[in-house]
Amino acid sequence: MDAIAFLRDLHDEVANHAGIGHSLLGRMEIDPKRRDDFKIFCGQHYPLVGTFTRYLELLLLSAPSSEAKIWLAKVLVDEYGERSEGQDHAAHYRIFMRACGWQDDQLSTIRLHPAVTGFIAEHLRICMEEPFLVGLGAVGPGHEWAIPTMFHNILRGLRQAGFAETEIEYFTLHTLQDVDHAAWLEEALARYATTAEAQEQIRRGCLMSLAARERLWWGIADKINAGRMSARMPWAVSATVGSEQEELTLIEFRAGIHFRCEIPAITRSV
Amino acid sequence: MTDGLLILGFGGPTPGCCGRRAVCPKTPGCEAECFVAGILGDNPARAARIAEVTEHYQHFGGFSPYNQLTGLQAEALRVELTRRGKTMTVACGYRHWAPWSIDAIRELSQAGCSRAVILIMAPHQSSVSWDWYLKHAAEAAEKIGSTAPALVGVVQPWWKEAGFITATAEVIRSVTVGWSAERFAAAELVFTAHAIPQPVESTSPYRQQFAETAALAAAALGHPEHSIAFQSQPSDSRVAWSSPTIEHAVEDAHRRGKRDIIVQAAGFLVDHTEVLYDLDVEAKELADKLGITFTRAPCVHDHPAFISMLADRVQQALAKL
Repeated sequence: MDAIAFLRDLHDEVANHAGIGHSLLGRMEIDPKRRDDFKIFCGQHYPLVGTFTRYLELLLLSAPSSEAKIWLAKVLVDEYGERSEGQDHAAHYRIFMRACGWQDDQLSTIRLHPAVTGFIAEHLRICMEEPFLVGLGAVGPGHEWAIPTMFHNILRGLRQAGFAETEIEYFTLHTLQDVDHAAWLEEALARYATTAEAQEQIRRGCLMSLAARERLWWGIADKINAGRMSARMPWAVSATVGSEQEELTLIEFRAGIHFRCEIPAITRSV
Repeated sequence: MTDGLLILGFGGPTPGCCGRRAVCPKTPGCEAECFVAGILGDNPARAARIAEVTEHYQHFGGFSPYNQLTGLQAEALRVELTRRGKTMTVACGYRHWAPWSIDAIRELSQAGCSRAVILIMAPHQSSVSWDWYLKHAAEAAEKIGSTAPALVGVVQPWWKEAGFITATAEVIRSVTVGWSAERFAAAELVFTAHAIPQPVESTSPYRQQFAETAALAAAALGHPEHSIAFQSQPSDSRVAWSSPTIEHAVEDAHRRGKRDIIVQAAGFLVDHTEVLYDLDVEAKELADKLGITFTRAPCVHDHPAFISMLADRVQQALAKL
């Protein structure tokens, strides 16, 4: 299969994936969310926002050529905030979190659903341990192709919940930027996806990322159902009671991450 | 002024518009598609899955007996409570079809109830089979405002209550009447519940409670061994759902040389479309292919032991107020 046909098929597969079409996103109008629902949502989603650049940075290390590094670097510079008045995505996201009612000093102490920490751990693993093209499949089609569709649904829910446009800029800006990122990465993918092996690796990375995404949405839905039920009916006991004891905060999770760093051997004396 | 009992269930499509969509085609037979899309979300990414599940409903004429059968349970419970001297207004509301939870709360309000306790028609707890129902009801009451009855309590879970276990055992006995003791003991006895995604299962006692129901029911029957299996997991999901599946259980029974398999959906309370299609059509087809005799016991429905147990639990909930 030529690269163009492969990418077209992969586009279809992404667009029809249950991780993109999760009921939490698809039911934003059927089951309208409120500010408090989004407070739980963003408490769980925030750690992903702050970690995405790390996936790209790790991938940059294993990029096989300068050309590939340049493509990744282009996306990275944007993620660092070049087209966002110097504010990176995490900074934008904190504006949204404050609008939901979080204080900055609370963000690292939120108990995270295992599907949230699992999502990050899986992507760090993909970017560190899998071949470069598997990683590219995860951050390219798995992220940049998927996000505009998912965020479109989230934005519907946010507007319905009454958020002002200035409060949800992270989502509007990110949606626009990811359309560009997707195009840049597609250019890179088209260059590499020329053999059956390369196509298999790209697809595998993409599907691993989307599976982690599907688990993530289930985890966030689990948190919203339990959290909002408990808030509204303090006399009722949640089905998830006790499960939080085993959950990590972002600080605890970060403390447990160890990056493998292979330093090239020194070949000449200094 | 009477106390209200708000019965919450999943719901199933019935003839007529449910009122969910602002713009509805209102074409004959659109109910099943609307119902399934309401669960999964009106989302192009799930179009294939929505069409697949809609077909299951079309197999039975496009509707589900869920609401009617739950209504019969509600009426039996109301009669039992009245017999015990406790008059209550009972209303059923559903999460995915009309009458919605909000309609049921309005019904209680119009009947003059100032407070109500909630009964969730699901035997095993997870955030989707417990918390979500309560959240849904609380949001509906908030939407109605001050005229809504105060939701003041919830009937506590009853997965291992004797009345539920007795009813489960008796529905199995009812489909094995005339079997020899040897045939019954040699048959594979499988209990099923709806599969839930692993991230939801991992935070809940759902699996453990279901396994306990199955073990107690098997013990009540004096059956030497039993197994649990899960059904109705979406074919398009790429995450792990509760396992083993019913298909795996049927194949496993075949591998072990079983000639009979008895299946009872202990995780469901009425024979609605997921039971009728996923077990009686799909699982039976597999068993037929493998040469195993497939016998499905009905759900507990309005079995007197089950209804009596629910009445006990409702009275306990009221006593706590």
